[in-house]
Amino acid sequence: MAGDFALTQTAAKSLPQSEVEPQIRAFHRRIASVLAILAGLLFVAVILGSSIGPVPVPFDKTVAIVLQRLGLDTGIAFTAREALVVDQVRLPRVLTAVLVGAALGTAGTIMQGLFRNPLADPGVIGVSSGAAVGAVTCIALGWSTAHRWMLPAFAFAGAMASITLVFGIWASGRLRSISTLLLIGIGVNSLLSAVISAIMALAKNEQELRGIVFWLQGGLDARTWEHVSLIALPIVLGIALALVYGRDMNMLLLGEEHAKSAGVHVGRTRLVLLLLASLITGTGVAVTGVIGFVGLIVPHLLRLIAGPDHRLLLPASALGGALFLVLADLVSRVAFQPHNLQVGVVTAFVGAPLFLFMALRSSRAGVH
Amino acid sequence: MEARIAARGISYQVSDKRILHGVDLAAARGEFVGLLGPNGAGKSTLLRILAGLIKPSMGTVTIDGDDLRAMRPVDVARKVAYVPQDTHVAFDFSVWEIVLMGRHPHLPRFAVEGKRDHEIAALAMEQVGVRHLGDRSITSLSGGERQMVFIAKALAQEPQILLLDEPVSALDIRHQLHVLSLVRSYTEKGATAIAVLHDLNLAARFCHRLYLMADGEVTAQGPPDAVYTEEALARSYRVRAAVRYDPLVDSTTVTALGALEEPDERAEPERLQTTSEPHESTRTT
Repeated sequence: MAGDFALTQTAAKSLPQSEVEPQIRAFHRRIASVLAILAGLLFVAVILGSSIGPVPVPFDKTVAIVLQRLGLDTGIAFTAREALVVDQVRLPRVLTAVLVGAALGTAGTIMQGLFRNPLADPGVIGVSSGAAVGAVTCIALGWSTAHRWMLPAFAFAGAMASITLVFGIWASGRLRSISTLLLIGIGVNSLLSAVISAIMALAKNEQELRGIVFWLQGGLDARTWEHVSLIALPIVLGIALALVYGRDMNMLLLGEEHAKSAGVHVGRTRLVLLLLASLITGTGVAVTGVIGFVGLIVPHLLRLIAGPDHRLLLPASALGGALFLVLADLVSRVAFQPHNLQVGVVTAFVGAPLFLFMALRSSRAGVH
Repeated sequence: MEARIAARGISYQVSDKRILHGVDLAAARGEFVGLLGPNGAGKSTLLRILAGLIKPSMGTVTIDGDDLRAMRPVDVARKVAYVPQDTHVAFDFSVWEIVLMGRHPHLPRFAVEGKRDHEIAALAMEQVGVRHLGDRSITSLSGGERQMVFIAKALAQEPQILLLDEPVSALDIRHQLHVLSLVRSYTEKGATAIAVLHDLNLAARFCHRLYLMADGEVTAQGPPDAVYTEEALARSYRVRAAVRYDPLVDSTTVTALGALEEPDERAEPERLQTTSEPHESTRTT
C-alpha cells in the first residue's frame, strides 16, 4: 500500500511501541465519556420533561411508564391517568423535542464545519425560511385546518423548494465556491423573509396572524405519536448518514486544498452533507416551526468541551441538541405557569446570552 | 529514466491571464527536484496542478503512467502528498490530530486510526522534530512550527511523491537544513520530491535537479551547476549574479550582486504616470 518506501521502515527502531497506546486509549475514552455523559443527561431530561407539568407524576413512576413503552416491566405501580398523561401527552412532545433538537444540533455542526464559519446555523442556506414561507402560505390560504398534515407538508415542501432554488443558483454560477453558496443563502433568506412579511401584512384576520406568529416562533404544543413517527425515520437516518462523514469533515475544516490532497472527494462530500443537513432541518421545522439558536449554540458549546474532531462532535451535537431542546421545552411549560411560552422564545432567551458569552471568551470556538 | 510523475504541455489560464505556458516537467524515482523562479513565475500553480488540486487548461499530468484526471482522489492521495504554503488552521485541532489526518487516504470509511497509524504519525512527528508539540493546539503554534507539523502530516501519508510549496520559508536556518536533509533522505530511499524553493543555495545543496521558471515557462533545467549560469539567472530573476563553487558545502552558490535594469520595466512607471491615480496603481503592482 505504501509503495517503495514506508515510513515505518525508515526509523522503526526509534519508537517503543507502547508509547502510542495511551494516546489511542485517551481518544477512545474521550469519545466514550462525552457521549455517555450526554446520553445520560438526555435520559434524565426526558424523564424530567415527562414527569413535570400541571399533573405531576413522580419520577419513579415516569421511569416505569417510559420503560413499559419499551417493553420493560419494572413492577412499580402507576394509575391509568398517570400513564395517559405521560405516555400520550408528554412523551410524544418530549420525543419530538429530542428528534428536532438532534436534527438542529447535527445540522448546525455540519453547516458551521462546511462553511468554516461559527455564525452558520441549520438555516444558513434557506431551509428554515423556505419552510416558514410554505407554512405561512398554508395558514394564509386557510388550508392548515383542512387536514392535520397540511401544515407540515407545506412547510417541508417550502424547505425543499428553497434549497432547490439555492442550489440552482449556485450551480448556474461560474465559480462554485462554498463562500458563494453562503452569499446565495443570505440573499435567498432575505428574499424569503420579505415574502413572509408580505403574507403577514395581507393576513385576513387577527387569528390568522396569531397562527403565523406562533408557527414562526416554533412550538411543541400538542405533538402526538404520529408526529414522532412521521419525523423519526428521516431524522435518525439523516443523522446516521452524516456521522459517516466525520473524518471527511475534519479534513474539510483544514481547507479545501488540504482535503483534496488527502483524498477527499470535496465536491461530492459537500453536496451530500448539505443535502443531509437540509433534509433533517426541513423535516424538523416542518412539525415544530422555526426554532432558533439550537443549531447555533450547541455546536459552539460542544466544540469548547469536546474539541473540533467531528467524529465526536457530530454525535455529541445530536445528543446535545436534543438535550437543549428538551430542557428549553420544559422551561417554556413551567416558567410562567399557567401561561406557556413558545419554545423558540426560550431557546433565544437562553441561547443569545450564552452565545455572547462564548463569543467573548472562547478562542476555541472556531474561525476568527 | 522513467518518470514517476510527469507533466506535459501544461498551460494554465485564469480569464485572459496566462499563468503557465507549455510547461514540461518530469521527476523520477529517488529524485529531489527544485522549482525556482521569481515571484509570479507560476511555480506554486504548477505544483498545485501536479497535485491535482487545479485542472490545467491544456496538457496532462501522469503518475506512474496513469492520467491524473482519471484517478480517484483517494488513489492519488495514497501516492501523492502535498504541503501547501498556507498552513493556517482556524479550528484548534491538536498537533496529533493534524498529523493523524495524514492517514485518511489509507483508512476505510468506518475505521478509526489504529495502533499502526498512531505509530506512523509518531514517527513522522519525531523525524520532522515536532513530537514534543503533540498535545499543543495547532492554533497556538508559530508559522514555522505549523509548517513542520504539516510536513509531518504529509510524511504520515506515506506518499511516493512529496510535493512541497516553500516548505522551509518560515523556518530558521537550523530547521531549514533539517527539513531539507530529511526530504533528501526520503528521496534516497526511493521517494520522489518536488519542492518550490526560494533559497538558491539551499536548492543547489539538496536538490538533484532544478527547474528554473520565469513568466510561466521553464527557462532552464538540469543539475544545479548546469542551471546556475549568470545568463540563466539574469534571464529568469533579472539580477546580476556571481556563480561559484563552494567547497565548504560541496555545492554551487549564487550571490546576487544587483538588479538588472530592464527596458520594459523602465517603461512601466512612465505609463503609470499617465493614469489618474498613479499612487494607487504603483502600490498595487
